[in-house]
Amino acid sequence: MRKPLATAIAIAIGSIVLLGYFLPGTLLFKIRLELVHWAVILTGVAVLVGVFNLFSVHVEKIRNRQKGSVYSLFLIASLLFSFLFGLAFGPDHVTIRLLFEAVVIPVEASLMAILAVTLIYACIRLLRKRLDLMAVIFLATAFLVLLGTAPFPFGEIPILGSLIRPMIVNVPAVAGARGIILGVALGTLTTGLRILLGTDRPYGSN
Amino acid sequence: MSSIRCPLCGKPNPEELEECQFCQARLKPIMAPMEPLVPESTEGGGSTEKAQDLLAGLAAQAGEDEEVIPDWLADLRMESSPDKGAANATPESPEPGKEEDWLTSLRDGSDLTAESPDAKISVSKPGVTGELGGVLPEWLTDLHEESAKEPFQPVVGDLTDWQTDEAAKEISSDLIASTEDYKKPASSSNADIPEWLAKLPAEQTSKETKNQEAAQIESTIPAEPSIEESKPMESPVLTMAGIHDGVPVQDGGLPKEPTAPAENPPESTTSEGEETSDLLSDLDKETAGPSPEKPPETLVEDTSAEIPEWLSSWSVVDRSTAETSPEPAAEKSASPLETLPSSSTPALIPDDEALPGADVDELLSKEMPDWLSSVGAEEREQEKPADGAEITLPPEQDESLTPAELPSWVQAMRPLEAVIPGVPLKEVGEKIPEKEGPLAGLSGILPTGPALDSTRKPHPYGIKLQVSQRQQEGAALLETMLASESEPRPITAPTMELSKRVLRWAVAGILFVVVGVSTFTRIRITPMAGSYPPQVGAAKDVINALSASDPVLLVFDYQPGLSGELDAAAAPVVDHLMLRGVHLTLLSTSPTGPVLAERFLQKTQSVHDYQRGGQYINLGYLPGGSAGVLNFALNPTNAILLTVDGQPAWKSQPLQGVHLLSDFAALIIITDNAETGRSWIEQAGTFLRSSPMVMVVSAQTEPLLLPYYESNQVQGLVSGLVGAAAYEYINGRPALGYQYWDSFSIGLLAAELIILVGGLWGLRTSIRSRRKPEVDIG
Amino acid sequence: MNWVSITGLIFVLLSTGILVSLSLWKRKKPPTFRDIPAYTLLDKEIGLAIEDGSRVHSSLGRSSLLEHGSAASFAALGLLRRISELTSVSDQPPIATSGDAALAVLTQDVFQSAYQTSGAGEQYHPSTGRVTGLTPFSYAAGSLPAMRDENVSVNILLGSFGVEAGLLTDTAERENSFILAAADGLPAQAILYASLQDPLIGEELYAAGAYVQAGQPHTASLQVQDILRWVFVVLIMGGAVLRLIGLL
Repeated sequence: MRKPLATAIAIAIGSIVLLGYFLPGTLLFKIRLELVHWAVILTGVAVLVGVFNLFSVHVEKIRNRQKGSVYSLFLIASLLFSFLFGLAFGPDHVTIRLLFEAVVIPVEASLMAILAVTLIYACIRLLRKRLDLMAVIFLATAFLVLLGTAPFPFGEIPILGSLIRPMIVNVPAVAGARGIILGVALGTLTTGLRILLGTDRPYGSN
Repeated sequence: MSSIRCPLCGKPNPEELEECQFCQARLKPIMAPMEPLVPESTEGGGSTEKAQDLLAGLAAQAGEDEEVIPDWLADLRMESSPDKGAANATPESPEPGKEEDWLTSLRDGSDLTAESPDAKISVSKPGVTGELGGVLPEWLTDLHEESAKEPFQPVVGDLTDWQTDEAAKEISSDLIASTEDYKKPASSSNADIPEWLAKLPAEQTSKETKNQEAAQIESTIPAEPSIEESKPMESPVLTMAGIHDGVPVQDGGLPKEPTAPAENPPESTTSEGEETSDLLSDLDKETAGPSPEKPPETLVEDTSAEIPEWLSSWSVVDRSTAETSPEPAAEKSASPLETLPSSSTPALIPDDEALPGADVDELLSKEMPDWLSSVGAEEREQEKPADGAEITLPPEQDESLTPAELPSWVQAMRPLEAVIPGVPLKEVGEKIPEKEGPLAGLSGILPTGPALDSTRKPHPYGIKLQVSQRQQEGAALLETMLASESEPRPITAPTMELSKRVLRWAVAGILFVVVGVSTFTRIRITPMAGSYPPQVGAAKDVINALSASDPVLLVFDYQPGLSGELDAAAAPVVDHLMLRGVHLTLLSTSPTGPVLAERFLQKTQSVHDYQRGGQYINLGYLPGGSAGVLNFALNPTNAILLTVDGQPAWKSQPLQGVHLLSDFAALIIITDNAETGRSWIEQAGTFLRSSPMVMVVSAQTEPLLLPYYESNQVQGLVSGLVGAAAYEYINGRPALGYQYWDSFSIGLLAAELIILVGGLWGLRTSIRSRRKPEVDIG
Repeated sequence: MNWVSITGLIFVLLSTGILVSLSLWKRKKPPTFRDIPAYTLLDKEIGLAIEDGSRVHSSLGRSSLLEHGSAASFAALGLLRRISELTSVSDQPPIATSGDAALAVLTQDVFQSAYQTSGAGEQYHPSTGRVTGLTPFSYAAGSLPAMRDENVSVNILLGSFGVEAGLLTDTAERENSFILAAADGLPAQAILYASLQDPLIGEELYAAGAYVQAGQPHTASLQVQDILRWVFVVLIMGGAVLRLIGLL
């Protein structure tokens, strides 16, 4: 009884929100806003659920003495400290800001730098991994766009930054991006309808 | 009350019963009267009746006083078991009314065994009736006379009266067919051979005994017409007749010799045996059936297969053929001979023709018929093969019959063991006296035809296939392949190639060196861009249009990892805003956004001395993603109530007079994610009304958000470090963009060169590797 | 209510009708789709993972359920359900990482229901569905140990990703494990195209359910996508022509 009821509620609320979007000014629109407001509250609480899930996973890792459990111990310690400290002194406290500036931002910036190296390495090995026309076009396009992005120390290459790059970026790149986005939108639509109609419920026992 | 043991199952039965109450076998064999058998027909009962009369007579005679037993029979008995008198073997006189029963049962061939303990007729020697009394039927007497005249030969012609009759022909044909069955391989009719005959144990007699017996047979059996086709294959019909259900067969009443094998139907070859030959041929044709399982070669040369054991002891009948002869099947054609009592009564010998015991030697020493002697020779040659030894066929016997040409696939499937005749389990080197029945005390009486040596070990018919060498090699190869599949192979952990690690370190090192050197040395070698994108100018114009103390919503929706780029991109814009004196309201849909915003203002805009609560306010984190944006756009005062430091948000100075999204003078979105920008554009754009929206984005999202600028949904767009540099250039206030410009340009150049060189190298390597054959590394 | 809203509503209702019709239509032959090598290899690699007792790792991205990337997350959940059923016989259960708390809760529910369906309910453990970070890079950084240290041989990166997908693919390549990756964001798709042998571009992400035989609705959904794509092509080309000739 519980499963069909939950499915019916989900379908009803989804239909209301969808119709409320297309029918502004109606009662459905107001109900939709209220339901969205509830969803926002749930999302905020879900952040706490995520933090608790993160905590429990690493505690179990420490308990089972799995590989890398030392790092889990540091994670748990830092999590507890920042959480408790932030609750006590607020997120705007100097200490919290110091932690953020000294730990979070450098770590993520470093990851971004690693990503830059990784992408360059991937470009180098692209043709070795997959030698076809599209791969060559991909690499050539990336190279030309990079060339036209910024002037060189020795000067700017004529027509490269003023003509070629804008033409590539504004025409084929944007067109391709739009096509991909349209396809993604179609997929989003059909997936959403599938969830809305209750025909696809991967969660929940069947 | 005395009981009668069933000759078939051996269980005791009441004396008065005619049939066994357990297996319905005939208990009291019907003795035919001593008169020629006159088989009326094979189908009808006429021949049966006459045979029954004969047998009744035989039985009656068998029930007479033992004193009437011929001397020769008595002598035989004494040889086998002196302690056993004829009394043990005295059969009861068969009642006339019961003649038909046992005869019928004999005809069915399923009742009687060789070892019939209480058979009414027992013999002390094969082919010799021991207890038929002294009065022999006339036909048997005639047979004896004939045999005395001529060597025993298979009956072909010159039979007595009974043979001339059609019924006799049928009987003869049955006998001949039965004889043929012993000769034939698997093709012979098992159905034609009496069951008792098949079950009779093979008796191995000595050569001397055989000779004696053969001689005795010769003397007692009437002369048989000779067969011109004296084929060694032919076993004496007398053997069959003599052992045919144990009923002694008299000359004239029996076909004298077996007909030729099925391949060579007997023909009337003698002048006096023409009728006999016809009879025999008829018998042969009628009773010809499938040969037994063994190949024909075995039986081709084993002429002694046709000669029963009891006769072979006299006439060197090859017992090996008896082994391979087919089992007599239960169903047999109606033949009066088949209804003969189960106790393998040898051929009846008239009293007056009975040989004295002293005449046994004389009997055996008499000249043996050709067929009998040739069979004996074969028997000697093939006598007693070694255990497990492969019996080779005498070459001379191979010549008589052409072995069947089997197809290759049949030959391949032919079990090898089937070719090898079975070796008897035991050597019957001595006569085993009968213990029960009319032949009690006698030994060597019961014929052990080819189908009677039940003591032989059944042929181990194997199921081996004959495979060629090539097939064996293929099978071995397949087996090896299958075995290798199941063998566990050690999985070696593949290690990262050294070249990959070196390449990564090389790329990282080059970038680090290039960017680091240019940053720390603060070199200025890269000229600024000569032109700036129009969307940057549009953004500048939007901000120029703002007035002091105008509330501006500033959204920080980028990740800490991209703070380097977006801090540089947003710095001149926010600087311009602060120069205009607007009140800033900070908001973020990312949990780290509020802290990033505070850090940004402190790091890049410290010169403007903006104070929280006075010139700017931080609303903190807006949960819900797109829904949160929509919620805020619809009702900002309800979406965010407090500031990041817990103060009432909408009563502060920066937010005075602000109740709706449209109350803000402008909306500045700083994001690194195109989707976030789209969310703000799509959800909040409609609620801004006339308020402009400017976006500061990362370079990676510019192509995706540029259409919104082109569609006038966004009024200004500053993307990446290039946009920041351009904004600083047109604003005349250098900032982070200007600081990072040379490092950015040099680093970008280094990356381009690495990609170019590496790409070309990869292209070359890939082309070369495609030309070369692939090498399996795993 | 303007004509844009009306058009959109009609479009949605039409799509719903086609989807329902195709879902309920019992065909004699299943529809034929073009071959996508990545999904073909996935089937084989999962079998190998089950045989050698290694683990399957699924990463569902960092999108919230209230954002537009939630569709990619639901598509990933459908694939995760199917994989969970397939790997229920494996020695090591699969793990799923995500950058959103609500998504992590759904992954746990997917695992639990899949194991119950397969009759292996005792194999479920809540830690198999986990949140590794609340920001994109922290989420990627938290997923790297799971890919390195938990005997993972198959990595499925399906969902809403950003540029941090490059870190995940690089780690998977270092571990010589199989990678199937698809994202709804263009930067991530560009990175995946450069990093993978068989990348999935565009709406191939939403075809995952149909290619792993997750059910008739998935197949019908893919067919609706194909139909609507052709409708869009006609509309775009027609609009361009009309605009060119001046009628629009």
